[in-house]
Amino acid sequence: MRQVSSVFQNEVPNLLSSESNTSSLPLRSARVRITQPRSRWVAELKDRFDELTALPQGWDGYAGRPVSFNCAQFAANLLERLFVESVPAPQIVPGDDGTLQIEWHQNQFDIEIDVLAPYDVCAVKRDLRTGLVQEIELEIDFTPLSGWIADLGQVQTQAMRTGA
Amino acid sequence: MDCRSWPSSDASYANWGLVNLTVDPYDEEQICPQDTIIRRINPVQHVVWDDNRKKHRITSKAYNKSSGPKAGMSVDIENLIVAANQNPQTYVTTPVFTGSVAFSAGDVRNLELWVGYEPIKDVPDVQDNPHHGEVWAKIEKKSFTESQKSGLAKSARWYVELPDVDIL
Repeated sequence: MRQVSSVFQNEVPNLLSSESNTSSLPLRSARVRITQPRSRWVAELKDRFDELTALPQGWDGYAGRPVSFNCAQFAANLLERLFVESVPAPQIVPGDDGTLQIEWHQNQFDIEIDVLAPYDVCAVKRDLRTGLVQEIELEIDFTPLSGWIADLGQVQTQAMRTGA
Repeated sequence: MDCRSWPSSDASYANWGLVNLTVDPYDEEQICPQDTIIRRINPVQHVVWDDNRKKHRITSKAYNKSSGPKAGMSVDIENLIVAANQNPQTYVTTPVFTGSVAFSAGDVRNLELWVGYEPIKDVPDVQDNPHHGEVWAKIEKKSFTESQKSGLAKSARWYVELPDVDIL
């Protein structure tokens, strides 16, 4: 075992086997560290996660709390699973209750993944070309989100090929 | 007291027995449809870059309820601030500077939402806010629906404008 440094390192002990580079979604009770993010997204968002988990109480002008470690950790793991190379890293915004929302607004898609708690997600996809809006709640199977990001990646790739 | 006979002092709404964030969702009849409901917007945390629209705008997360039962979306009730002889623009930019948007209570209610009083009092590390209110969903759900969030955004106008940021 070794002590490792990673995002959100101040909240729980970081003890993992030296072989571990876990990026899969953990069991509900497990707290999985991302020691070396495999995806560019999580690497790019590391400082943002740290910022959101360190927000001061009342940051929103009301009684807003910082993003909880659990939500941030789950979101980071979810992003590891959803990563598509051709899609830029999303933006992340905090809720006033320790939650966070992951957002993409590009290629005529709006995709918003609201992480209310680990394994408790509300998500919206708007296709600005067709006006179609999909709204889903997810607790176990996050496969639909993979489909959404894959769609975004396909459009991104097509746009790059056509120089749009 | 109906919605046109507004309380004129802190004592009036102190007597309503509301203390910090434990109010059951309800629709306050003393808040008239034309009354202004203010929602504070953090200039950094509530703003995203929208590459589709090529502009910075307010995230939909700013128009959502908190998670959990009885939870709603924090707002300030303009008439309460005015009745306390305070400047609303100054009030909603302290102690933390934020921009803010405003809706009419009628617009809020047209989205199947309720608006009521929920003073913030004795919350650790948070300044008391006797003019704080809450917007709740009539039908309890994990979050506001997409149509409720977009409806709030569409009916919002700037109250304290953030430069180079659009509401929609």
